[in-house]
Amino acid sequence: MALARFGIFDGRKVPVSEIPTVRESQLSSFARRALSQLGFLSVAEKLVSERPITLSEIARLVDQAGVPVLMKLVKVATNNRTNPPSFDSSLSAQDFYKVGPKLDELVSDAWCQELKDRGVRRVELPLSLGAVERLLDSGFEVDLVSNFDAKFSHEALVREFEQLDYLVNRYFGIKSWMPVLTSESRQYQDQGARDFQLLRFIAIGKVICREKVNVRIASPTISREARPLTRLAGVCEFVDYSPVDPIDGEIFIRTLGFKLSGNNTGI
Amino acid sequence: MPRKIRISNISSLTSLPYRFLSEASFLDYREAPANENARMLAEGEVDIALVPVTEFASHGGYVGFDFGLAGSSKIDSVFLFGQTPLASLKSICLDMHSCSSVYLLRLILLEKLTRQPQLVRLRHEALLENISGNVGCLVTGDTALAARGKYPFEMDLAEEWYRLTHKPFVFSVWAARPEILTRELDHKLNKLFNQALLAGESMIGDIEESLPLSRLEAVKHISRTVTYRLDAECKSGMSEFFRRAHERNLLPSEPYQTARYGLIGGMTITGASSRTVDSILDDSINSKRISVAEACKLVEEAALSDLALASDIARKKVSDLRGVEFEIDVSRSEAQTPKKIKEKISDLTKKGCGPRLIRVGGEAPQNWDELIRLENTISDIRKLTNASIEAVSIPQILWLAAKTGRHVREIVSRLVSAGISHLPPVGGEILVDKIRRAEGQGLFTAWEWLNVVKWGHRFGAQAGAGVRVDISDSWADRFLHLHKLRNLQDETPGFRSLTFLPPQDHERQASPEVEFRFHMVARLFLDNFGRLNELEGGDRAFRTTMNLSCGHDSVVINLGDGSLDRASVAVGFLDSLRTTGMDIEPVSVRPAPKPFLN
Repeated sequence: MALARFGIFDGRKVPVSEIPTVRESQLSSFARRALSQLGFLSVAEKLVSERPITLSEIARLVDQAGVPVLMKLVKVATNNRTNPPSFDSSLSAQDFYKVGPKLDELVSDAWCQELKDRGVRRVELPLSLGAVERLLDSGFEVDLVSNFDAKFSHEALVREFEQLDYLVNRYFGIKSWMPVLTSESRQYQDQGARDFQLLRFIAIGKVICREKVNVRIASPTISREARPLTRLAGVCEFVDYSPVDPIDGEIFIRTLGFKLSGNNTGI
Repeated sequence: MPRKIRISNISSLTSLPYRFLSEASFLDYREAPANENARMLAEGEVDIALVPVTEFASHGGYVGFDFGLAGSSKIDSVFLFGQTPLASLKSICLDMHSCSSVYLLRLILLEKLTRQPQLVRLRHEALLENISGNVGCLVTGDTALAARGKYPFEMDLAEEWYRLTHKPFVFSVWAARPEILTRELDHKLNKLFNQALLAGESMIGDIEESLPLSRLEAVKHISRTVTYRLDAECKSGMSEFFRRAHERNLLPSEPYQTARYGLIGGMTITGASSRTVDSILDDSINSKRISVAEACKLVEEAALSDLALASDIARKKVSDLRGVEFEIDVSRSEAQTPKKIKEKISDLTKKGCGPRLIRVGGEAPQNWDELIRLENTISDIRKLTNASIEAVSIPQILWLAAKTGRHVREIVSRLVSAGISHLPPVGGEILVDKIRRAEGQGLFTAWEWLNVVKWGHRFGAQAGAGVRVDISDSWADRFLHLHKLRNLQDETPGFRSLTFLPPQDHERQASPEVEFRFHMVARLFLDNFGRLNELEGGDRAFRTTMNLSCGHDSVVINLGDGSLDRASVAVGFLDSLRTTGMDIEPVSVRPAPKPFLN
């Protein structure tokens, strides 16, 4: 029996040696043409071949990528595995101990040691480079939160995603990333626009995190209408608490792994 | 006892041999015009029908029987008549019900002429009397057979096609809904079709008295001119026609297909479009037309992200900017004081919310005097503004025509002349007759609704098309509805936009993903529509925003009575949209279109 010398790929007869691997073939001829017309083919190709995307490409995603492009990039980044998000009901707000919000004052070597001494193994905190690195370097698992309510400028948005990119590509201890836009958002007054923009942020984050980090979303921060589409933006898990304080809108550092009574503004 | 197979032949001399089918006891036989056959087959009122080949392609979900009506080098029953040669014709009148002959004519005109004559649909009876000077007429069927040899310019369209391609032209094919076919039934029907061809001439005896031509000529027409069995040559001609029509964006590229059967059970396995999702999407972003079956395939099988990409590209081809259109409602009593309306428009314009449409409310005219009073009111408003004015719905026009015995054309002409420049989509939310009848909306047919729109377009008014998004409708029904709108837009391009109309009853509202899929594929399907509208958010704000990012190009905001408070809310909504990075600007108010017929 002779081996086949030709095969069919993309509707054409091609030599077997030229048939792309399964992963490369994720980008159909239509997707290539469409992404090329919209200016994001190079980013998609990098995702397919698992190469890193550049900072300027991240800025372009923030600035120019519409939801259609982002949905496609998420699909490529997750190797077509956009399963419905699960609901993580194992945790509630009571499982965390709030110790924030003043990160820079709190996250010191001594503080890290104290947490360790008390048996803390996992910390949820805003995406602050210095604090996160210190915790990761100290061996903690980290859940990241990006509060986009406070990111008013394009530059601030881009910087947030750049930091996310830096961290997920450098450290293994990051367990999840959760973007937040609250109903108190001053930028996005309209619920529809707020949900839409949150989906965009989730999708950009997912393109950056790929499958290295779970993307979470807090149920209270997104409307019932928009929830079914979070799968397409790459959300892996829903949680039913919000990391944002409803009164002053700030995110607390919260620790998981021990429970203490007392106030919630510091250890 | 098994249900009889419902089958419909075309009622004409050319298709007379197929009348033999009426003798088969397992068939429920009927005859109708070709386009009515297409409607009945599409809506499931018959199982098999002799349909225009263009409807076969536009639907894309049928299987053919290799029998139909074709002209090898001429047909004699499809003629363009005129007093002057083709190049000097400024207008060509078309039969209200012609279909494939019109597409063939359009293709021939595109291939032969640089300047395209205007095409005007008329009643069949009025066709020949309109031939004069530089007005020609496309005549089909028995009328064409009888009128040959009477005009200085006569063009047999099949003959002209043969001159262009050296191939036969297939006008109609016997088509079936694949789900009703089994191998046995297919076999029985093929046997019957063959018997019908043998019996062909003998059928003339039954209608000898009503023949449009002499018996000898009729026999010659049936036995020599018309080709009934679609052999390889005919199929090659059909493929060539589909190819050229697709290139000109007149038809989808659905290939002709016969039924294929599974090994077990002998049931048909031919169904939805055989093309891949990718190739259909490719066509759609290259502005090529897609069929009803292809649209159904996309909506059911394509990844949502791919649909979003394609619809976004399709939108950008129409316009890179998204628009917002403001509407205000004016009561009939307010309409009596046009100056107040002018002040309101001026205030709203200063606020950045200048209305694009003024909707005049109130009771529909109940008689001719009331129609005249309405005309005067509209005429006064028209003097103040260039904005579109809407005052009467299509059901109201049909009702008034029925009550007064006046022709729809006359009523529409008067209203447009008075200043009405927009017809609302009311009554045309789903233009599928079987659904309309089932829901008690059968007071007028889809064709009658479209006919009013057609007259509106011809007199210079625009119309808003609508489609409901109701969970009870099938995908095929929804795209059949859009197919009718697309066809009319091809001929009289007066639809300004398509608006998706959510059901009043929340229980009947489709899920967001289903709704997005429909909106996106509709964007791809309606390749001749300028705008897809989204109604302003409210509790649907998220859907509105998503739709605007995936194929829709405008949002319609109804400012109610035009209060400034309402305008402020609208401005806030738009500002929110802009913060997401969407460019969205008010659609400029263009001068009201001038009627070109009086």
